[in-house]
This record gives sequence, structure tokens and C-alpha cells, in this order.
Amino acid sequence: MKANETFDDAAMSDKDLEELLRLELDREDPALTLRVLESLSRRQPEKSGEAEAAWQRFETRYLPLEAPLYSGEAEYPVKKRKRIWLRTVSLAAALALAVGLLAVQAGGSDPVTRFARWTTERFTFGQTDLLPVEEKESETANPPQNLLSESSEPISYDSLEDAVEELGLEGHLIPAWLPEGYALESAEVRHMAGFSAMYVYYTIPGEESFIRFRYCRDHPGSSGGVSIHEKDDTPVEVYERDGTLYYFLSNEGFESVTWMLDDITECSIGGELPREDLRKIVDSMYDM
Amino acid sequence: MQTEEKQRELLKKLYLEYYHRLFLYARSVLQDPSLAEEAVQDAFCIACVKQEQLTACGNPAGWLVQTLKNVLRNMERSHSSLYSFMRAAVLYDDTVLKESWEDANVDLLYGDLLPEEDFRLLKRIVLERYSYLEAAEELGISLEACRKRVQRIKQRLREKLGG
Repeated sequence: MKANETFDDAAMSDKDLEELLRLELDREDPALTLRVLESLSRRQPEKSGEAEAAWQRFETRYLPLEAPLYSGEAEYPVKKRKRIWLRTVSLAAALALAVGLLAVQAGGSDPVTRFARWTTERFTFGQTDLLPVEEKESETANPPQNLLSESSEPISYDSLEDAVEELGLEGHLIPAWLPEGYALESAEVRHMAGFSAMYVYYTIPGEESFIRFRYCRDHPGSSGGVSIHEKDDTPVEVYERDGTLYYFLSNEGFESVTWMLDDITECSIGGELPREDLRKIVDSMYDM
Repeated sequence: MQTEEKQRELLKKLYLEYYHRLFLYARSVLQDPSLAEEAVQDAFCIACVKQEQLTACGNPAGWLVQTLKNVLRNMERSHSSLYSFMRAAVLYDDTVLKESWEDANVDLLYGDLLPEEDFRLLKRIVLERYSYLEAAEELGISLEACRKRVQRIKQRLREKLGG
């Protein structure tokens, strides 16, 4: 059953709905899951005070955890089309990445220089000082740090160029070429606590395909964060152009290229398109 | 700080709005209310760490459901892994029959492998499907301490049994 198909709520028992939910576990689209849950929650409404009591347990028992219980191999999702790029200043998440990472690019002795590192599942330009060799065990409980983070409303722009200008970026960032049919869908900049991020989407009208540009700049003086790109086991390709190293990643059909523009600016372009097209997009940025 | 308070209020609002539906989902999959609540709590721990992402995604319900799915899958992986270690640990004693190892009087085993208290904790979580919170409360320790104790048990068994 697809998300946009109807399911016959009235003809299904509670057990049928629960079975449907179990079957939904391996699907990526939560839309149908939400509709089934809506139906089930009407039949089995919340008991008075249930959520409030659970919140109390959350605050007193779970929130003090150093990291989520089951996040060791977690895939943190956003909408599927915007998946891949994760950002956190959580030391716990950085620690989780530490084991088995490969340093592939020497960055000099500057303690904030970012190194490209990857495992079979993740890629990061994590800061070296956030990536100790071994996770230290501690009985001391600290709350996750990102609870303290700050976000803002997105600011919309009419073009990639305008959004790049808002971020104050200079360099080879505007492509002269995109695959045929793509047109600008949205360009937004968000100024967050510690960094600013730009999301620009190009789509083919009437189709699901998209190309996403994401440029992120740490605010001067901020400690920055750790960028985590989910990936599959397809080999990472490194491409050098005019002294900049571009890393091509794959994640189950989603291709992306990511690079550091400077010590505080990370860029990525991605979409469900051939890696070769991404390479052409990168090359075309040097034609502008 | 005002920002922290604002973040907390936003998270609480989402929590109260979606908790019940997420709980129903987790209970459908896990068939156990305590484990189901723990899965939802863990999904919200991730939401707390990733609050910027959750706020920016535009579809918090979808984000939470997808995160819960990942938590549920990770719980199953974690349980399978612990189950394998425990099975190997029990069968380390060659007087235990493979067919009935789950029923073996495990309190009498493992002097060399694990302290009795550690083995009991493993048994609670693996065979009796206690949540970490239930196990922690039984032992009178914090959730974090319980989690770390299980990690140490697993590490110890890995060292002694290989794998």
C-alpha cells in the first residue's frame, strides 16, 4: 500500500491496524504511518495525564543521559529529500564517530582545521579536537547540549546568488550548468546560534527529482559543529580542483559532493542524479 | 536562560502532542508498554539533540515517526546482539543443553565469565525484556549507570568469548 492510497479504516480491526504499523517499519515514508496512527489513536485515545506523566519521566530519567540509548547506529532522518546532512554540536555524537574513523587529509597543526573522515556509514569534516581516539566512560550524567541551541525563521531569496551573498561567501559556488529541466524551487538562509545555513533547491516541475545546495558557515568565534553525512559503502571519490578537495558520496541512490570552502564554511550539493552530473556541476562553478 | 526555556517549551509542546501516537506505534511493534515508552523517550532524546533539525524540517510529526522507526530498528539490533552474547555465555558451560539454554539455572553459572549481578541484569534485559529504566529501578541505579553496566558486560563477554 502506498502512502497516497486510502486504507479502509472501518473495515480494519485494531489488530489489523497494528499489523499494518509493523509492516510500515521498513518503509521510509511516514505519511501512511501517521494516518494509521491517527485512526488507531481515535479508537484508543490517550488516558488523562498519560503524556504529562511520561514527560516527567523524560525530564527526570532520560534527559540526563549522556546520549540516546539506541543511537549507536541510528540514522537520523529529516524529510527524505533533505536527508543526508546532519549537524550537531553534541559531543556525544562526535564521540560516537570516533571509533574506526580514517583521517585522509592532513590539515596542518591548526587545532580547528577540519579533517575529512569517513566510515562505511558516515562522512564528516569533524573538528579534530572533538574527536578523541576513545570514548571515555563516565558515570557523570550531563544533558545533551543541543537542547540549548537556537534557531531562526528562514529568509527566502530569489536566487542561489542572492542566498550566497547573504551568507557572505566568496569563491566558486555558483554553477553555470545544471542537468536539463531543473529550475529554482526555493532558496532560504537560516541564521542559527553559532552558524548560518543556506538551502537552495532546484527541481524539475511536476517531478520528484531535486538538486539541493547546502552551504553552511560557522560564525566567527563560534566553536562550530560536527557535520555528519550519512553514506553507504560505495567508495568515496576525492576530486581536486584548483586546490580544493571535493568528496563524492553515495547514500542509497542519493549522490552528493561536499567540500570545505575555508576553515569555517562547509558546502554540499546533492540529489538523486548521477555522480558524473555532480562532477559537471562542480566543474561549471569554475566557468562563472 | 530565555532561549533554553523556549527550546524546552517547544520540545514539551511536541512531546505532549505526539507522545500518545508514537507510543501506540512503538507498542504495536514491540508488544510491550514499558519498552514502547522507552523507545519513544529515546526518540525524544534524539529530538533534543537534533532540535535544530527537527525545527527546520517543516514536518515534525514525520520526523518524529521516522526517528522512532530508526530507534525501533536499533533496539532490535541491540537486543539481537545481546541475545547472541548471552547465548554464547550460557553455552560456554558445556553442561547446558543448547535446546533449553534459556531455561538453564543461570544463577549457578558464569563464575568465570560474569559476576552474578551482571548476569542477572543481562537476563532481565535479554530474556525478560525489561526496559533499561525498569532494570535500573530494580537495581537502584541511574539509567546512565545501567546503560554503562550493560556496555561493560557486553565488552567483557566479547573479550572472553570473542566476536
